[in-house]
Amino acid sequence: MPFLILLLIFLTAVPGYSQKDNFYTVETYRYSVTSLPIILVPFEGAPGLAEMAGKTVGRDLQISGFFEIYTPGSDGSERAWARVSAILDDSTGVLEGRIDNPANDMEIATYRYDLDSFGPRDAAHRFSDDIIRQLSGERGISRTRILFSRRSGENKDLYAVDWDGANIRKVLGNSSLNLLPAWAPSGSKVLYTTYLNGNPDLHWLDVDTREGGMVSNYPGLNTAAAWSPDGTEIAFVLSKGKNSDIYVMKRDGSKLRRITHHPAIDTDPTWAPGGRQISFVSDRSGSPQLYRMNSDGSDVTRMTFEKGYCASPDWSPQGDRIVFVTREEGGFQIRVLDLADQESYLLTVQSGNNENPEWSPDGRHIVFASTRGGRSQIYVMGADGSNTRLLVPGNHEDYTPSWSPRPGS
Amino acid sequence: MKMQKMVPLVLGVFLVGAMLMGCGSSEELPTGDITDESGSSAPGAGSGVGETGGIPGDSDTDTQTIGQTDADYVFANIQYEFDKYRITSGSRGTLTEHGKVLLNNPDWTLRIEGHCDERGTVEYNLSLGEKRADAAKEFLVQYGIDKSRITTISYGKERPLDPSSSEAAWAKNRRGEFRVNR
Repeated sequence: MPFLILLLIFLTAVPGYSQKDNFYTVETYRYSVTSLPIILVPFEGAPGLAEMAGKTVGRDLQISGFFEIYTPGSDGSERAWARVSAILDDSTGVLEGRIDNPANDMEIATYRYDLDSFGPRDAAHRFSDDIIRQLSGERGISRTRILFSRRSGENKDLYAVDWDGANIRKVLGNSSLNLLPAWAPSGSKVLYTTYLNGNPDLHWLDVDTREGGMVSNYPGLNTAAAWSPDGTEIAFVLSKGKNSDIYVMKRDGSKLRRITHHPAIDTDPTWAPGGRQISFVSDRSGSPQLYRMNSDGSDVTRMTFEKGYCASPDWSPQGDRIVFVTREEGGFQIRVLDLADQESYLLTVQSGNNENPEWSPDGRHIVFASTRGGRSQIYVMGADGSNTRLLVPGNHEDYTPSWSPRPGS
Repeated sequence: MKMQKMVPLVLGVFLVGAMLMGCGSSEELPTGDITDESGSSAPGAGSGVGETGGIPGDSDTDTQTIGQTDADYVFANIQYEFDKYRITSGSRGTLTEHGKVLLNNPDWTLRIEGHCDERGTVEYNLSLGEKRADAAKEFLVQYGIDKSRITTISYGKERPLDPSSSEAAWAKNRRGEFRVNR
């Protein structure tokens, strides 16, 4: 990444820049670049709307982890090397955003968003991603969403929420158990397991249009679906009423083939970014452990050894790490396995169970479910375990989050 | 064999039961069924019994049955050890009782639900629950119940009986449940 190198050179030249004190170094992991100081000017224009847009952008920039945000004239703001402002004009229906250099008021970039096309919140998220792109060189994820399962009596419904915790809405409620949503690598389709027809079947749902249908309904489990990175294939689990094995099929259901052949439980596949390898969970050694294999099922290799229960792997978008859960003293914790040095690092230390970790599409964040607050809720943390935030507050029990890809334009 | 010997016993128990109970209960149980079921279930019983370690004493069974009928029989849950699906010695007696009642009532079909405690992942527990239900099914098939009468389903850790986080709750939640279509 030539750009990354440029960015690092630039960052290390910024006075006051300091590396985070954790096991990820800037040299190894680009997502741990520390905060860039910027000034965020309150948005002007239409009362109410401008303030909402400004707050949305401010929150996006803050939770992105890229920035240290100052209000104009506040202590430390003299360190900022970029200033963000905007005018939301509802007579013309335009949000006009601007980035300039506070030292000399020179314009760095301006952006215009048509409010009729996007709506004010989406326009604000688009501006956030443009700011991130301009100042860090990275593609932001301000327009992504997270889907999860919420308990409703003895059933579970599917809900979606924007990445900043706003705009929570039910996307599926059919008075049955709906589990383990898995968002396709592009678009708005998800796979999930549902007991709607009295058997744990695999169904698909378009989160935006609410269309859906059956994908697989063999007797027994049809579950733990994972999309291949190019979205053409699905790895999932069939038990046929007995023992769970991993199968792969085309997204249209054709070319179904079994890729694990073992009397032990094999489940929870996750694809490497190139699509040539799959990591999964198996208890073939006597306890659940992570394994990897080629996506045709050949060359099965055990990956974890040090803990008695390792499960829930999710391969990072960069391909260099796998996040997973282990059973530790007092509960389940989230770890990341560094594939280069074969070491695993603890990311959570909270009491309770921390489960179902999944990477954000840029690999800088991890969404997971945790019972640390007394019941299962959805949290997001940085890829190094820092800056944990409760994504969906409230009195509900929420489970098994899945992070959407970046939406198309 | 044993089951044939039980025919008059069961019938006798039923008659005593019918006399002890009110008329509401006896309506649910036409007498004809009892003879039919006992007769048809006898042939299949022999082979499986020996392999699973035998049935608890007949006299115990008979005393338990006094005052109730198969229609009132409660298919009690069975329990499992943590992260295990094999049938424990403690569950064998319960399953054997279930098997006996199912042999007597060949028209009944059964759905076995496998459940897990809250520890571990949703995905793994779905697979574990499936193996638990299947292990119970295999026991009953070995006992002599035709496998076409038994279906299984796993709920993983999705339907705990006790949602609290304690050893007692976990033990209760690691279970097989029996849904009988009578």
